[in-house]
Amino acid sequence: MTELHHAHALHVDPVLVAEVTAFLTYEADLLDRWELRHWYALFTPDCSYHVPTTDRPEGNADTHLFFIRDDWFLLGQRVEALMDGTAWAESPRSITHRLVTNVRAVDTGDAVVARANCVVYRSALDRLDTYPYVLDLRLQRGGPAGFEIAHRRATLALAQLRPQGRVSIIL
Amino acid sequence: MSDTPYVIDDRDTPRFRVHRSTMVDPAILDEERRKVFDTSWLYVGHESEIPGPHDFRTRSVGGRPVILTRDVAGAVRVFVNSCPHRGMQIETRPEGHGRFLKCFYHGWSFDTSGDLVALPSEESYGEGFDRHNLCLARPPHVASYRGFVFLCWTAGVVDLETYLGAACDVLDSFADQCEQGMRVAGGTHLYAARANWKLLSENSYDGYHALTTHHRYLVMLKESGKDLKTVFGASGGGPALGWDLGNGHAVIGGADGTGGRNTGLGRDLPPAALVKQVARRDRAAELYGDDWANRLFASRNLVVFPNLAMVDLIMGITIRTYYPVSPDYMEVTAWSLLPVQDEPELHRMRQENFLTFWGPAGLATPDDIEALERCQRGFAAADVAPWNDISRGMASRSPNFADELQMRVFWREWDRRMTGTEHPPEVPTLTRVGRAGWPYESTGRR
Repeated sequence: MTELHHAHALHVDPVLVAEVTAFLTYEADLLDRWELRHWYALFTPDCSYHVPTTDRPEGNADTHLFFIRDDWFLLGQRVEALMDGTAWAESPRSITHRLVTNVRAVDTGDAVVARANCVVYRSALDRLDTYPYVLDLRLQRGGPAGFEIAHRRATLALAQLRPQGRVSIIL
Repeated sequence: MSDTPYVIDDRDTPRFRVHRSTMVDPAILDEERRKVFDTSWLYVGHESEIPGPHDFRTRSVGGRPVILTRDVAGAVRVFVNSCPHRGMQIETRPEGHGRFLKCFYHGWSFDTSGDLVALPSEESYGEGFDRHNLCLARPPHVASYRGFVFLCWTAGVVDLETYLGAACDVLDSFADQCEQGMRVAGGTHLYAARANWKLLSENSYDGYHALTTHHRYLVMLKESGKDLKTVFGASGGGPALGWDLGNGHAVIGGADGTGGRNTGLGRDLPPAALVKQVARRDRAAELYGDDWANRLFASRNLVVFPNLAMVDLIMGITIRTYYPVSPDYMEVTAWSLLPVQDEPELHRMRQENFLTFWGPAGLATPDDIEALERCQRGFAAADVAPWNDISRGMASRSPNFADELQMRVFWREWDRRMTGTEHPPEVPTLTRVGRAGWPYESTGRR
């Protein structure tokens, strides 16, 4: 799990934070423009993408029930279905609008560990859903975008998922 | 109600239709609250969610807030989560542990037996004051079957096991999967759908929609290398069928639990995990015989009338309950049921395969929700396009899992409750037979 220690959050390297912010903005942009295959290419083959439940935000994916527990293969399947229109909940595609802020990042030596506060607005037909979440990432330096994603965990800042009903987009 | 029936159950054509007003009319929902929810045994939770004395969970059951807890002796208790003094909801945390339930409004405290044990300035109530008259209210009936806790809000109804009838056998097939018992995993799916609650009863055992609605899930399975014939093939002891369990309960299920190979949904178990699965199945056969062991390791979709769905797709088990807030909006709560003792290899696959299919972010459930919500939007035209058709399999001698027998069973009971109309069963209902296991054959047509 990518845990960004509080002590680190106070003493961040502003250059690193700027680099990570640029990367996070880039990937948020890919997601909003539905360039999901490009976005998927940012992941390493040993990656994981996790979303814990609202009542176990600190949960462990091996012992607790989660919302999402994808590996590289499953994330790829998720992306393909969203792109080919067979994810009915996103067909027609919704309009998403992402904000990424409060970026913190630390280079631990073997990875860059980053955290950001995110909000996605999702608009489809007559509904507007808002998904606020904390994004935890473990990044490796490399690839055309400067970083590759080894682990992505989106922890919803929600008590329940009732107002939104579901997560049919990428968080 | 108008002269138009809610349900047309035409055995001659045959054709089964449900009027869409049942999905949109607020007056019908008011009536459902009294005639369906208040007189049914409703699922509260699983005993494993409150492992020790004074552990508690709060939730809403049948529109009323309750506390599920254990008293000092460990007995399961359910109380109305409302202070007998002025009505305040006492506990709002979804879960916790505490010897006392304290209402912060005026400081009244209750123990986990529901007794009022302390209140400020008790003497000001005078000498004749008896705290025992002010204990926490309870549902008229609370009972457990194999760890599954139910309540009923109306006094004098039949007892839980009579109500469940042959559904007891199906609940056994969930409870028997581990000698040490079953447990609900930490973590809850608290989601919702902008659709009528009955659509989720229908959807929870709808075998017909799998190939179309869940196309992307099946593509994923195929890409993972799975042989889809093992999912839908009539392998093992017979094809997947549907059965009427009586009292509005029904189940569809496969008979592919002969073990030793990857069957059912989910990515294939790796060889090391498959060996453990076979060992589990063989242990069950030792304990209970082959027939029951095959049942335990075959898929089942059960709906206990009106709103408890339990689905075992071999790769995982979900428990789901759902309540209407309005005719076009329901709140859904879902859990994962696991063996208390699970081999790490199998546990890992269960965790993964559960989420890949189920849950509000899985590769299947969001599409179910989308389908239900689009149905609800279609019902806006209920006045000019008034009928849902639920006839599939009515002409068949042997209703299979992709037929709609199970939904007709639901609707006939619903109509009986709502209008008093008695619809004779379409096929013989199963009777409770215990671990002999319900038959693999269809009960056939009368």
